Amino acid sequence: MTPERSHGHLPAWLAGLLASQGVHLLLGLLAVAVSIFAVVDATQQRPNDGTVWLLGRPEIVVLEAPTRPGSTPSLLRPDDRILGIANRLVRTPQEAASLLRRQHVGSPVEYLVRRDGQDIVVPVQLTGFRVADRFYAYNIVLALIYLAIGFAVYARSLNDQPARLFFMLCLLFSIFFVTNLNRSSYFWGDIITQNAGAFARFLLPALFLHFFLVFPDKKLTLTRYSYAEPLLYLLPVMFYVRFTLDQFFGSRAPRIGTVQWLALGICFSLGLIALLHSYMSYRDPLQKQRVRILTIGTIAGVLPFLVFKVGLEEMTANSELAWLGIAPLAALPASFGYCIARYRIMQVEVMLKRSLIYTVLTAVVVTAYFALALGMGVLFARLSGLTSQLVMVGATLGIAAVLWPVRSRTQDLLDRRFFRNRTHLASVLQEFSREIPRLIQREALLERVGSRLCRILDLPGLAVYLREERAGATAWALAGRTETGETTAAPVPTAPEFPPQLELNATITRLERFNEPFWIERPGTDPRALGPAVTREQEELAQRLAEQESLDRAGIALLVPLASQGRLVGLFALPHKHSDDAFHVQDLDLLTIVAGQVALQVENSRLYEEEIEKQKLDEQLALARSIQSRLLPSRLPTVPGVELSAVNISSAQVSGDYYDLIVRPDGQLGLVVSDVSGKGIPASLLASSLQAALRAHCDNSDSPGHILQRVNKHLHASTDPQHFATLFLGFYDPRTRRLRYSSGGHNPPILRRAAGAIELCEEGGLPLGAFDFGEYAEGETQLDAGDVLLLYTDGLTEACDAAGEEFGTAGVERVLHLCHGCSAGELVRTLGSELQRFCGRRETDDDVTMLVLKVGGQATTLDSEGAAAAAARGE
Amino acid sequence: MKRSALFTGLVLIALSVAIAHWARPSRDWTTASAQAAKLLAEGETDLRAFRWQQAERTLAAAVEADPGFAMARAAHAEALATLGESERSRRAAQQADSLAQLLRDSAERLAIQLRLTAYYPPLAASRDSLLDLLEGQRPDCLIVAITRARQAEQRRDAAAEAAAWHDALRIDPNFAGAWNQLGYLAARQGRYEDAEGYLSKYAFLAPDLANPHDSLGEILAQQGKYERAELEFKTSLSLQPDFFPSLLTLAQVYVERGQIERGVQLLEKVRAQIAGTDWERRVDGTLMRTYYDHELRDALSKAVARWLAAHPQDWQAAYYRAVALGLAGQPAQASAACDTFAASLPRAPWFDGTEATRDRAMVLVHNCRGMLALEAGVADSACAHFAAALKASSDAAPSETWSLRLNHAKSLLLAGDPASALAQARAVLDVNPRRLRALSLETRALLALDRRDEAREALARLREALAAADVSVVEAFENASYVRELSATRPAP
Repeated sequence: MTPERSHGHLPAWLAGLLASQGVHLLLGLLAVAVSIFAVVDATQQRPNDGTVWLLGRPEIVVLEAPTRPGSTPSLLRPDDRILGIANRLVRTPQEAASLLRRQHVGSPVEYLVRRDGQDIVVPVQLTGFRVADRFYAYNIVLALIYLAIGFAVYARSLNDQPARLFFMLCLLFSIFFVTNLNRSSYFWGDIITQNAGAFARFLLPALFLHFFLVFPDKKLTLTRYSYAEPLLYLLPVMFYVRFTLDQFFGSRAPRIGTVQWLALGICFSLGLIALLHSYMSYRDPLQKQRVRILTIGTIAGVLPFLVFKVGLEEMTANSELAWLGIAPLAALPASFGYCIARYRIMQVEVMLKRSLIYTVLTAVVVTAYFALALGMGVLFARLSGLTSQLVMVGATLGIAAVLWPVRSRTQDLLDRRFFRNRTHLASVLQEFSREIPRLIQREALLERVGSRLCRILDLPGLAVYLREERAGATAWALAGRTETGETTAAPVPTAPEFPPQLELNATITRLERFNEPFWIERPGTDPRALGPAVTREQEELAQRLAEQESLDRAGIALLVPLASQGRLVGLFALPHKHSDDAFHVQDLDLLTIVAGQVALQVENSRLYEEEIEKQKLDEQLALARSIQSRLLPSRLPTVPGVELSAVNISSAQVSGDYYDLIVRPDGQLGLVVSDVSGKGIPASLLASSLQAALRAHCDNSDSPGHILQRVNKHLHASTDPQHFATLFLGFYDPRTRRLRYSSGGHNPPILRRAAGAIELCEEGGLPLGAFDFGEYAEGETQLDAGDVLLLYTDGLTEACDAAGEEFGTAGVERVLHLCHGCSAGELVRTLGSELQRFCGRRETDDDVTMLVLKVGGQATTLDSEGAAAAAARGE
Repeated sequence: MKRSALFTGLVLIALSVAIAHWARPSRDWTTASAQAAKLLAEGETDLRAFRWQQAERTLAAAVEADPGFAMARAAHAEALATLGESERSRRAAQQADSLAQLLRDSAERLAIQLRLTAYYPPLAASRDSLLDLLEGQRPDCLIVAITRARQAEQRRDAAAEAAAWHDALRIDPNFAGAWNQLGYLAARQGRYEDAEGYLSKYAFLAPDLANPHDSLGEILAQQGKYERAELEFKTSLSLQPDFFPSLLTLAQVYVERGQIERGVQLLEKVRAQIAGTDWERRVDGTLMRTYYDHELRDALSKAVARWLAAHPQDWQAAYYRAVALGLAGQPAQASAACDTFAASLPRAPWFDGTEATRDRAMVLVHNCRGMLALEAGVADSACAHFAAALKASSDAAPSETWSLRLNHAKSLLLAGDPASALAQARAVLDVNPRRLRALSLETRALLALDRRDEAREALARLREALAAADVSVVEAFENASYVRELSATRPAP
């Protein structure tokens, strides 16, 4: 499992180290070892002189000679320099501790001390137990509870920051309980317990605060100022360094001073405030419910601790009421334990339903493991010929760690025997990893994954909803549904009727934000009872509660997000299990991993389908372009007394524009420009049909209106009503220079007189093919030398610039004026270049077709038009 | 997780193995038996703490555990020699030497042989060469340090001896004998506080022996710490009731505190117990010195007569005869007796013709003549003799010259040189501020110098020192006279 990276402010290696499970295991073992050592050290009856020495000094100077309860006052005095113990000279505290260990409790031992410049022998009565606290046994029990819950949370949770911090917090609490800062004569014992105890005392408040800054939700401030996290530990580390230095270079016994306790107490208080703030700031009753017991338990445990333990005992040395500060700390693991079992906080799986046999067998395995480790540790010590406890503890821990995989393997076997389905998860994941990439068909993918998940997770059914964008809104449509079809006796849940579409807004926001499985629980509060929402948060809460209620009614128990590259593409909707069991962490692991793979594959599938579609479209466009190119005349006819020029600029999607020049037998020149509705092949085919019909009717009639009327009926009869075309048809007689025309809903051609006046050829009727009725009026106009007639489609006037402004007829007229005296070809080229300049880099959405007739000019050819078209395309 | 656990476990095991290797006790001497090595270490500890009986038993057990253990046999030989079992010691040393020849480790062989030089005559002659060889190979060996110290002691090189003993203590700080030697060296050099420190450690390390407590008591008594000295002597006597040095020094402590009667009673009691032994002479000497110092003439005359009757042919007989004649007011005969004493000194058992013994003889003669001159009231002569005696005893421990100094001070006062007398008295008081004779002479010298304020202070110290003294002690009378003198000359208000 990849640990989350929440240490953005730390170097990568350090962040990796902090998140490493190996390091956590080592720290856990260290804490256990220190705790065991401290307990043994505290409870073992060993001779003690009650004095306090400085560890780092070469000489042994008595700093304190406190009177222990139940023992006679020591004859040693502060500032006595101990030269010898029990008729042996001692030079270092280590030697003194070693000598003391060999003495008997209760027996007087002679100390050679230098006092006031004289060497004198002082008899010292050695006392026994180091810790005379009646409640120490309770402390040990508390430490065990904290260790147990800490390890359980860590082992059963995902390796995320709150779980890690909670684990560390439990370790420090356990060390805190079993260590005390009463100094003793035991050198190694002192070094270990004093330093571990001081370390725990200094670090505990900071860790406590840190934990409640990230749990139950990470505080925004911490997210924003990530360097604040290491800063929390600055003061404790400084305190600890000072404490350590005092052990070696100080002038008195190192202890935690009042100011330090005050600072540590403030840290604890801030931690409580942070927790309380989290609780109070929850608008969501569900969230509030989850942390309520925990908040109460923590406050009930820590407040008396601050008052009686920190305040009274540590700061005023009054230990009479210290038990009042320690005893309530049991509330902390109790409340956390309850919330873990009830609400699975920190995503901890708790299996309360394990069978008795399984529990007994597990206990046997664990006991055998510890016995084996201990036995081998003792054997190691014997074989090495060393009786040092340090070596034995180190060897035992090492062997315990080496044997861990064996224990783990045995436990796995046991788990497999009792929880077969769950232990198959790893192999199942492997199967999924192999299978999913092969399933490119979305339906097949969803069906296969759904049925497999149903079988593994013991589900009656499963639905997959995929994101759909409709008219700017997001919808979650049912894309796949699987049912196991098992017939089971009531009241075992059956597959729900998954709604075809989920109306989710607030829930989706949450899913997108956290990207983790989301339990649907029946809200304890009626959304309607919340009253009118005033703030946006309240509104969102009410909406989420309403959505949860509807999901719960639909029988959905869990939503698992399908996210690909940070984008939510779909959801798994899971009902309750057949067995009505809760979803375990392993289930969530499986679902999360599979969801990720499915999301990726769904995206791949979508892209694949899009690619296929695109290929099809490209083929269609190529065909349409081919058809359209055949509609256009390969050469422009040569008509005396007129110049002709025409161009068709195809857009990417190929619309149904075309132009035609028909030379009638009577010498009149038919001018046709048409724009067919639709794009691609259908439009091209319609244009083709239109051209054929028009040409046929042109042979039989010389009346444009009449021809259009017939073509209209023909077109209406042969196509759907939604398919239509606009068309301009004009007959120009070169001998008389008269133009008769009619327009089927087409943009009126622009006639620019030689004198500069602009006229529009507007006579006509409705677009062709839309209706089976309609008259097409004819217009007639006399053209003179120098007059220019421009026929065009709406692609020319409706072309837009970057700001969305259309080129418009004004633009066209401006160019016409500019090109006064130009040839027809020059006019077409200028219009093309002006249009391109106007549009800039933006491509035209529609075909642009232009046909220019200039009276009294020279004849022109299609070759030159091709060049004009090329110029217009910018080639 | 499993990989992490495995890795962590292997690291911990590696650490444990490293610690095990590091912490394994190294065996300095060749033996196949760990038990024998352990017993040797314990036996050596007992040996160096002067627990000889226990050391012998432990070392015998070590030899039994490994009969081929050469060093254990050498140590056993040392223990037996210390206990006076010379024949067994010789046999053990011989076996140790034979076993040492078989050792591959030359340093170990040299160490064993060097150790044996002190107890095994065939090797004694090769001590210096063995020391040189071993020092080159194992300079930090305890046996090397001990042998160097003994070498220096023979050369009378106190500094080298002290350095060697300090080296020995660096190797084994619980080496009681080294502390003892350092204590005596310090005392001889007049470093009484150091000596007290060394001997305190000596007594602490060998709490079951009378000698360390006696030595410590002696040093404490010399510094005027009579109460603590008395405790040490009593501890010594509780450990060994027939330890006469402690009884003798305890009696001297009583006398020093002015409890003459108590001291004399104790000395007489001791004398009765040790009649006929060498110790009797020492007790008699102490008794006579006590009587002389406290001007108990009758008792002194009787003691001298008793001594002369018991030892008419002793080398000291002429000395005591001179003293007796001097006391009887016959200075010419006394002087002749003193000449006889001077002439007989070369026949003294300690006289070997060396400069040190010649000096000692000079001291005795000048002291004798000085005392006679003082008795005759010839101050200048007394001064000259006491000065010569002091000069000749420049190598002696300061405490051994105190008697001379105080007699010199007395003669200087008589000669009208109170300033020099004050200097002599204060040389004693610097070490022992409670010594009655010195306090009395200091007061008298200050009065003679008319330094009355200082005299009053000195008188106060004298009165304080006399708190536990007999009322008839001479210093008490002197004290009264000083009080009168100071009162009589008190200026009118």
